[in-house]
Amino acid sequence: MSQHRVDVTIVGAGPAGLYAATYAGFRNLTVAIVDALSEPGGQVTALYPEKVIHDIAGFPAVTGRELVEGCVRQASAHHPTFLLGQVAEGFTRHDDGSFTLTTDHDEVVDCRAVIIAVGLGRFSPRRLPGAEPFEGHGLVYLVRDLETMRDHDLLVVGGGDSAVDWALTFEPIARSVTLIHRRASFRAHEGPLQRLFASGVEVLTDTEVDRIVGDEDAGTIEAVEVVSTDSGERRRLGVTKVLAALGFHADLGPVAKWPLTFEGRQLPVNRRMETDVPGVYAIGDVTTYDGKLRLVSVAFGEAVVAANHVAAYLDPSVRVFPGYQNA
Amino acid sequence: MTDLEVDLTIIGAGPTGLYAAYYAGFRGLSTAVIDSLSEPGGQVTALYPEKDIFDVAGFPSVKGKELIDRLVEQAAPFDPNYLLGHRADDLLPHDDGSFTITTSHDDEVRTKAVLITGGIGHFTPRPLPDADHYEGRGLVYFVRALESMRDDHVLIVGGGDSAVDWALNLEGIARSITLIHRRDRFRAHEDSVAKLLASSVEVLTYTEVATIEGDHGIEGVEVFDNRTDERRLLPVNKVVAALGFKSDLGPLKTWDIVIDGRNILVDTRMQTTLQGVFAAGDITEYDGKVRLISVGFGEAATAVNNAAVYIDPTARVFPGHSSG
Repeated sequence: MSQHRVDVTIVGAGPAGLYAATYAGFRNLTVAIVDALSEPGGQVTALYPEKVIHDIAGFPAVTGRELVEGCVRQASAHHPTFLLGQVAEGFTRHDDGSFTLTTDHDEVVDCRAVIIAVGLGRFSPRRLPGAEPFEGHGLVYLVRDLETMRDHDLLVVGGGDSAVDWALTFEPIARSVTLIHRRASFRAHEGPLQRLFASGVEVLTDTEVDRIVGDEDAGTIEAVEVVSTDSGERRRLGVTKVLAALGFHADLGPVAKWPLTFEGRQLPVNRRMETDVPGVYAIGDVTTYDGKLRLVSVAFGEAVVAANHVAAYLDPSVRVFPGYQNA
Repeated sequence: MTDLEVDLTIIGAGPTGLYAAYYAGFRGLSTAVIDSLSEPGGQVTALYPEKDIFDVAGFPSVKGKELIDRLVEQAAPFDPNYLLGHRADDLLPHDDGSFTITTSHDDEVRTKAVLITGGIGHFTPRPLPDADHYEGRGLVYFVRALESMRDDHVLIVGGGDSAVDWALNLEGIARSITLIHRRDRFRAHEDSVAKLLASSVEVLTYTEVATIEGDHGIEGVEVFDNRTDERRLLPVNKVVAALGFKSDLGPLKTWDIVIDGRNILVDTRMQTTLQGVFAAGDITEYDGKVRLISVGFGEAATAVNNAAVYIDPTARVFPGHSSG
């Protein structure tokens, strides 16, 4: 067990949490960051480190990994205490308004403010039914190394941003890319969709996986039989890899039991990013308010707002912005 | 006179407006981007193109000009219609919820929604009193090129982020740097002030400019301690007066939206009091507002995605619903 004493504890080391740490550092606050994953980057590192992201301000194209590396370098300049690979479990608010957080590794953090940046929580991919023998071999739910798809005939399953982005990412790497979606309409941004339809990716809508054909012992795939949800017509696709991007189950874990008011799995916040408990702020995908967008660039903005309000909350003599400092 | 018809008109081509143009394109919206300056980039291009910016998420350090170049490049695939050197003068709402904007060149833009990213409006630097004779002869209000100060003895006047950042940026370029501020409290990020005090910059607080010496260029500046009136001659040949800016919203003030002082009130969707007119960035006001570039970016994404729903009520705020 070790004990830490900081100004603010950030729960969640995804992009929002890392950037909140950066800004807290600019405001000369001491910071601890707790995350259940053993690496920083949250969803980005875990789910799409190699995916090229286009919607981060100032980055026409950046991979998830590069973005996280930039955020880690920024945050590290202020030397936050990283408590990675640990789940923040215990949450106590003391009478003087300070907090004690404990982790499942018995680390104890005393602090005066908390920023919750847990995103969607811990997530696991939705699995393709009846395909267990191929999981981790021919069938994957996310790709950490793009090269694993080189020269394969790839089938991407799904109709969300993730499926569309993966298909576009692999078009120049795989030998062929086919995308199937069980509906006609996509849940994806218009821009990438337009690129998808202009690309060499073969897109089959109203189509789902019927059966994977291959060596169940080795987990290798020879073909996938798909079926039209319209006509019932079957078709055999000669693919050797399947990437099922069917979304994720998310679980907030112990944070959901903390004495904060949740709306479903989200924390309502005001425009200072305060929750209903004084000194506890929330940012990023976990928050909700009218018009809320779950985007990395929105989370970055929220991180800056929260960190600056934390600075003023902890020392009412400083201003929210830009901070008066005695020489 | 051009007759342009677009989904979204963005007023202000600073970082927030440029990112909004990108995001609108990403949502499949056509855009016009209007700015009274002739180059994109707003305050960043006009005031600190060469300054290192440390607080853009994902960029440990980026120069102002590079950030703007990258934002322009990011928006470029969606072909925004730039109307640079145009001021947005009039806003005429139509019964169908769309608008016509008339620019100072009498161009008319018919648009389904409007996003105001006007920053601090039209801005002019606060002048150093009785020093106009030296403007362009060693006295500047912002540093467009760091190299213009190479090997100079530089005096920086001011106590805000700009003054502190210029002092830090000129270290290693200028031969000597002195920063004077009339108070002992800085209006700058704590971290920057700590760096300043640890740097080789000579910092004099409670100090103001008395007179600038020199017939043609600057040969020295007499400063005084405003507590003791003690005077001192600083042997400098360049002065950067970073005293902030006077700004004016211009014609926006006459538009049918609620303005609080110099700022536009917005709800959490970044919509102003007029349906279909959104605002983002430094120009907006709400409880808890923080005027920083990353916040402007987040607000731009929020505004554009909510504007997309205003333009097409069958669209989803996120992630956008399209038909294959």
